[in-house]
Amino acid sequence: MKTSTKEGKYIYCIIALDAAGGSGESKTFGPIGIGNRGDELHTICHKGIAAVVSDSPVIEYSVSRENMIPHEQAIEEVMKEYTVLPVRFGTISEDEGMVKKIIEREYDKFVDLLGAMEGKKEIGLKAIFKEDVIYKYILEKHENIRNIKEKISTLRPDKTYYQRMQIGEMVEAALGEEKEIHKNNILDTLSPLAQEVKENNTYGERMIINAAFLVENDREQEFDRKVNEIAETAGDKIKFKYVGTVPPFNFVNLAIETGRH
Amino acid sequence: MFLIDTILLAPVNGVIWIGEKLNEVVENELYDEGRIKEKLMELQVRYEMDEVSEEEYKKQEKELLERLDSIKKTK
Repeated sequence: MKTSTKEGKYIYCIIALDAAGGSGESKTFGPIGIGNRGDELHTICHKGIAAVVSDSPVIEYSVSRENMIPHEQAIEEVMKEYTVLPVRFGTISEDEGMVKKIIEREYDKFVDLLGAMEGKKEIGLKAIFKEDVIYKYILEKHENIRNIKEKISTLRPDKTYYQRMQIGEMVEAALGEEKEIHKNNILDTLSPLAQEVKENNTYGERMIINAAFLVENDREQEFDRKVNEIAETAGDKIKFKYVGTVPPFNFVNLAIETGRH
Repeated sequence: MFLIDTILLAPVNGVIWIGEKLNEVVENELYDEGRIKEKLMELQVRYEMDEVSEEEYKKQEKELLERLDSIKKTK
């Protein structure tokens, strides 16, 4: 178990700090480090590439909301000024020297990825059918389901087991069709505006899409407009969760071997 | 903005895998750990979409983290 209380450097993200390639410059981003101790977010720079870190005990942080939020907020803070390469949650290096060694070792990759991410942002979109609306809609749309429902409404429940099961299956199939239609519409509309699209898992029978889009900054307005158009036409049936300008967690996530293992 | 889902089950897109050491991990445990993380992710997404109350979220998160913890301890 890794429960030592030795102090190390918690790494949040990688940035290009100094175009001139120096190592002296250092920057701070506020006392918002993980672990609730008010540790200052600062940089460790090597040849112009910097790791944004805060002091932290060398422990394994549990993947709770309480820990995830500061990890994410720190990267968001840095992102206000810099293109960031998010480092995987819970990455802690022994000391400053080790962080510099990591930068030295991965220098070319960091430079390439920073170049690839520059001027782009991640945008997240989730969509889910509204429970009270979608089932009514399906019933209105499908006469055959309605008919069976009406037929059995006058019968005793124990006489209609098979029919009720049948209705359940038909509703499920109809819901699946609706999801497919809306998902395709969303992807067809938004994907052309994105450099990359990543579809994540959906959960529950009413969720339509859970996707992240990597979008160039100068196309963001257009992207926004399209999302609003989709929301306007389908907003009666669908609830959208639209999150703009987050660190590109879905497109870069550095797993760094810190030499602690 | 909270993205526990994307941080947790980090994808391999543009990822640098630098000698991630997964040896000595029994396949079974890995599977269980992955499953719990998937559940955490599901919980997070549902919470984000207002399908789960904050109270329920906290309760379930605690349970899942405890299970995750106990799996890690047996490694």
